[in-house]
Amino acid sequence: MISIGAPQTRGGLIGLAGNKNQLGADCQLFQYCMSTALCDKLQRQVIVFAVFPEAFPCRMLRRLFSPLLDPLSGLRHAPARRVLLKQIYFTGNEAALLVLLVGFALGGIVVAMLHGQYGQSQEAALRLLASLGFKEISPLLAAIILVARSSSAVASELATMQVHGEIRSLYRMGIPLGAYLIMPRVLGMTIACIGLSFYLAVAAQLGGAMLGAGAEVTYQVIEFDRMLTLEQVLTCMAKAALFGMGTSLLACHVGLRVGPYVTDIPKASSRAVVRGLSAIFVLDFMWSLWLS
Amino acid sequence: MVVLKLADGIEQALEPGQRYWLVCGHEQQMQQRFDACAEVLNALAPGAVGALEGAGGLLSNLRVWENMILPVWYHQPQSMAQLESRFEAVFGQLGLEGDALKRLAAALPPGLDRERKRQLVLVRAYVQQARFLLADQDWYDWITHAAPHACQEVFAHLAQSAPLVVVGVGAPALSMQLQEIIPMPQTAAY
Repeated sequence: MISIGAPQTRGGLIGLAGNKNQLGADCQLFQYCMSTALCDKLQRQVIVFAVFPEAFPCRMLRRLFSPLLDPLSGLRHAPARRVLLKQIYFTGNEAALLVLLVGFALGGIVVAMLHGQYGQSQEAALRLLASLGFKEISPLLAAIILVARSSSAVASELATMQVHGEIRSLYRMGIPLGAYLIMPRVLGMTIACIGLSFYLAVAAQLGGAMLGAGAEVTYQVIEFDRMLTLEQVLTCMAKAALFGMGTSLLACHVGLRVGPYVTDIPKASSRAVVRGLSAIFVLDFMWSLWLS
Repeated sequence: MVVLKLADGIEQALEPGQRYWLVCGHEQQMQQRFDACAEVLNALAPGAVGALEGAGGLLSNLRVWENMILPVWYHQPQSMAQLESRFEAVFGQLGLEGDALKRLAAALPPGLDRERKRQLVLVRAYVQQARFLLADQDWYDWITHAAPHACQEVFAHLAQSAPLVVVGVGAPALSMQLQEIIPMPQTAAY
């Protein structure tokens, strides 16, 4: 126990004398912020505590965001970062070609319909495609592809681990479930969904430009910045992040809530797809309601 | 010396080189107590608790090499070369080297038999340089009676420097040679 004696209060700072280790233990009682760096600099056994009157709201905020921040702190561990990178690779990289093809074809189809069937000019058709593609179709389609490819994989992987007692083994190794299993998958799928949506929208725009302009496609590509606004790009990314996070959380939840039987694994997989698809459309509907 | 203190009133001082038997009434309680012990010991020595499970306790989506380094890599970042040298050293003692070892390191656990998985959790504890060993009855029964001699030697070497807690149902068999036993509050010490 340190001896506080008569603390010298000067301009909100209280100086306490004592051994650094002792102070480290006792200072928690005071909710003070310790500046050990200063102590080391001065080479003295004096530690300065700064009194923060606003410590209460800080604590409140920390508590409020702790469900999000605590698992995120798991990223300081190399294995969790590895899971994150693997998730981005399998969900994002491996689906990139498929998404580019789908986007390219989609852009061509939309411009062909707008130009050929509804009599829109090429520029108007491309402008409409940019608006529709970035704000609506791309995040939705990318999320659907993500659910079909990755939600089922994540749910069945976690369900397999649960059924075979591997979740328990992780716990016994002292590895937190949230930080090692859930957070990297959720973050990885969210990042992948943002990337895929962006790729899909750009590929659609390219496909539309190719179909509309033919040999003069270079001119249309240069003119992209006139058709696109920052708001469209940000909306695309925000929606993709929402869909990615929603579906990945759902997939993890479904995967970890299985019973002890092997037959529960395929059930979890299909449940993750069905619920993921429902969630995407519900979220998109709510987004539209919010905007309107 | 460290005191193992569980929520259900069990309290036992653990000393390196000693072996303890934690008595449980039934299988479910055994699992719960294993979890509780793992939690307490992991708080004392993160990444240095060798969990020796009879069923294997390996993650099926990680390769054997990744499984071996996972706990220590997660809790105490160390150089891969250091971990690899420990991995090779222990397999050298177990008589597995060269291409056979490379094949095993790259394999996925579902393709391995139960005995190999039991060996691997021992290897993992060695790679971790476990400060505490926590085994279930199944695994301890295997190491004392059915494991190859090389495995028993590696285990004996590990158990010399770390306390071993075996979680099991009922009284331990005499042949298990457990020196100390943690009594449950309602039962007498064996």
